[in-house]
Amino acid sequence: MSDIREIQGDFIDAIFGGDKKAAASHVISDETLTAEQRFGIYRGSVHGILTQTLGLTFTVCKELVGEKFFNNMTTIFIDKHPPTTSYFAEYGKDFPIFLETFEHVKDIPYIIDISKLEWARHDVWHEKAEASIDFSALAEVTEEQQATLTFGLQKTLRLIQSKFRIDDIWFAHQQDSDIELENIDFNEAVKLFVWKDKEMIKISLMSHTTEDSQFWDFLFAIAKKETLNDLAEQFGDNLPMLLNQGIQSSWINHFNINDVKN
Amino acid sequence: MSKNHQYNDIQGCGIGLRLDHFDDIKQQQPNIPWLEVLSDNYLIEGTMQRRYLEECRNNYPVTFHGVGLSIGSTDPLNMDYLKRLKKLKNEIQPAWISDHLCWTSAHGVVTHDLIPLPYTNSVIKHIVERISQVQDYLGEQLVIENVSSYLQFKSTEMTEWDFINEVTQQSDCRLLLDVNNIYVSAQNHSFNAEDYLYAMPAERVAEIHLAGYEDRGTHLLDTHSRPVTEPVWDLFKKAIKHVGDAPVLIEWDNDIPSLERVIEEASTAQKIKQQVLELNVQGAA
Repeated sequence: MSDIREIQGDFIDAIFGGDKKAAASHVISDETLTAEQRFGIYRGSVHGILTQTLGLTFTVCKELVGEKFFNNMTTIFIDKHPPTTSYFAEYGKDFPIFLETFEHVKDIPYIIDISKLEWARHDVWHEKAEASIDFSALAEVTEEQQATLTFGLQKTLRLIQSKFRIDDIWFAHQQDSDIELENIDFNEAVKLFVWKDKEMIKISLMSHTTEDSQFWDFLFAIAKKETLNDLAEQFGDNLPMLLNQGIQSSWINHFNINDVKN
Repeated sequence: MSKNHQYNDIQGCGIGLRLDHFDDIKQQQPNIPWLEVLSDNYLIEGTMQRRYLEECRNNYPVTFHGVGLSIGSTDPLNMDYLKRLKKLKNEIQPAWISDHLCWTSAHGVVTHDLIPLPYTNSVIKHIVERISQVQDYLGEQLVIENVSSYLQFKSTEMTEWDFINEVTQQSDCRLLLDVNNIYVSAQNHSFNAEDYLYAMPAERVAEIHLAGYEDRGTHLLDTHSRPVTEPVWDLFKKAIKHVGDAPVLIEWDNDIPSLERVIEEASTAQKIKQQVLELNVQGAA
């Protein structure tokens, strides 16, 4: 068994950018193809499968840089971030993080946030909405428990903010869009909700009114697992109203005390 | 090991269920004898695909086909994957579950590709143990598919067909006979496809796969992106003579054409199969 374990280790290493000679050393060469060329078919195939997957998730990123650049970029990404789960749907989570340090896209500063938006859409698509718990139990929470009480957001909601008008940039790249790229103020900051409404993924822009903006900030604080005491400090007298708004919209759907979900 | 009670639901020539055809199948409800579901795509609960699969299951018999089992890996069996697969199986009730005789992941990394194994006695022992564990866990016989390959290992001790015979016999699993894969590998490694085909244990064949490859000059690539080629149809006729009236499935995963075109390919397979079976009967008479 040590032989196959060694083969698999050498193959995995070489498929994701490592030494190809070690992998090829296990393979028979013939008059048609060398061992390295035969191994290379598998590296090409794996990269092809994963590039296609990333291209389907990050469609606008792909359009922004062009197919050839995208394929070259994803080759580097795939080598640095090989898949570690059997579920295709989970592959690409690290792509926005990769873009943050990928110098060749510095001329397109909004591409990082576009990739976050595209991952949020993809991620929400694969989530199942959960029913809200009975919040009347909140009345039973003691003062001591409030120190560790946190709320939880609906799994089918993501919050995205950007210094750029990424929602319009994204929409402008969709088929039949009536938004023209030349009419977009790219440097307009946005706070967005990305959420699943029945069978549709929606991107909703938070308006710039103080009330709406505060509601987004409130949900963002909840996403960061801030405790009830922290929320009270940050949102003061508006806390009951914001909490009620979150529960009524079902975007806040549970709470935890000492990390025990209710 | 008991057989799944729905084995007999799967007859004729089916097609692989693909996202591109979801709406057409839902709206037109075409006459397709059965659908093969890429089970890995439905292991995340709550997705719309999952709900659609449940709808499909009401109208068509289905089988599961996966790539994530990685039966040849030296990593421990992925119990999270198996747990999800078993749950999906219990909900959808496929006639059987198939995966590939290869490895797709190792050392904690997943390639999502079908990588061949060295054909050795120690690998047989390893695979037989793992298939047995999977069969015990799922509570049914597993169906294992021969893969196409582009390389051979120096450490290989036997032919691929001897390896398959040993694995299927020792683990008492069934075989998904991919005729296109035999042809592709035979061309890539210069062996006689018929030697391979006629060595297959006919009594263990649960299903036959057909697909199209691409000719890359130095090798054939199993892309599932083309119609079935003439040499593969010829080999398919011999496969039917060898194994008899097995269910057949058309796989089309890239450059996917219209649903009508895929169904047409399945109809062609059905006609060819019927002709061969009738000739067999006449020959016997």
